[in-house]
Amino acid sequence: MDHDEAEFSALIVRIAEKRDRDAFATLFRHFAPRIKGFALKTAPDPAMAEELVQDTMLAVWRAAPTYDPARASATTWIFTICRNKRIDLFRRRNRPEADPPEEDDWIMQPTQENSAEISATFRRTRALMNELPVEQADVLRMSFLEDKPHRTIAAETGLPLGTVKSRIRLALATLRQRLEQ
Amino acid sequence: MSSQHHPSLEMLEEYAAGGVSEPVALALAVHLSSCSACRVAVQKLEVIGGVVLDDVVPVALDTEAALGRALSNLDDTAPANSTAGGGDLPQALAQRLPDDLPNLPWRRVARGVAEYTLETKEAGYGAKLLRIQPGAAVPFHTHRGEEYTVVLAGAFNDSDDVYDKGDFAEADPNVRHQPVATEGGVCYCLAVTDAPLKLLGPIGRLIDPLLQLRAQR
Repeated sequence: MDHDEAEFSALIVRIAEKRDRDAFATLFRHFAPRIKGFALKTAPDPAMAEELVQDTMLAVWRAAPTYDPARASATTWIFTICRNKRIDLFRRRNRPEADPPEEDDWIMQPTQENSAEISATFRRTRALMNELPVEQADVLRMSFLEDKPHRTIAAETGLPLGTVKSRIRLALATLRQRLEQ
Repeated sequence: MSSQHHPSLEMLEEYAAGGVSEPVALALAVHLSSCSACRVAVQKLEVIGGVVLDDVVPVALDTEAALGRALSNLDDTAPANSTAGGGDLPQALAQRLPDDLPNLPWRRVARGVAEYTLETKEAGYGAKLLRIQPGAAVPFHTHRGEEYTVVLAGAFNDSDDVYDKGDFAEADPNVRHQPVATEGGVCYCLAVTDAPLKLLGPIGRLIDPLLQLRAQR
């Protein structure tokens, strides 16, 4: 639980630079059971959950050269891959993605310092999410875990759509404000 | 260049989480392609996804067997490079169109206004492109559900606001909208709705008004 995101980032960089299978195996042992747990929230059956593990990790191997440790923590980056593969696999469609920016959005260069800052932001976000009012945290987690539209979350929880949206808006406003402190 | 009119933070959250419907995701992807502020916002939201993935209770699998299978599939395929030219349009949209904007099979819907319907895989959602001649007004329409418009080229005015390329408009059902293309040139937009699917056929026609009544309550 309290691992160092920077160690995982270094593993992804090793895959990118050296096509390092040992680094891949270490990542796999950590992430495979988590991706399976994540997948089971929405997978039609357990076999599909294991397919998502395979699809995600193969994509991690292939996309490693595009990973930028100054932009995202390892777990955050793997989440985005897993999210997209889940849409491909479970909903049989592609996720419309924005074009990559022409010039970099981030002036920062990948340095030790930025990478450490990314890890710190990750840990701080986790701590702050645990401090959110339960009803806000629940809706936010449900949204990310089950990749359902707010409308569906409203229908399934019996909450009015406006309440779902306002809880998410409040949670994000609190996170943003406290992260900037 | 960043846009002046942006999607709400909740919509960006829905996109970052993955739950957003396909047509709405398409409209957001088009906006994000030209809005660095919203791209950065989405990257920050994705950290929440990372935390959620990290907090998931791990579920046992035969890790070594699965790892062996993964290792045997590793290859040296380079990640697909999506920077190939799609003209002026964002890739997410260009790859769904059979031709350039001016050459699409447009269908006239009103004076100076034509539309082209995009296929979507999700029931209950719609996506279409609009071509509005300079000075032409999009006919008034009521909004069932939510409607979002993103400008692809040109610009339009609506209630004293100007919407330029990349700008994202969320229709407020309580406001009477009358978008008018500016005189500068032809305005192209992507408009998506998440209105409930209209039921067709004799039984549908019987049920649909009942559903509408219920939706109004």
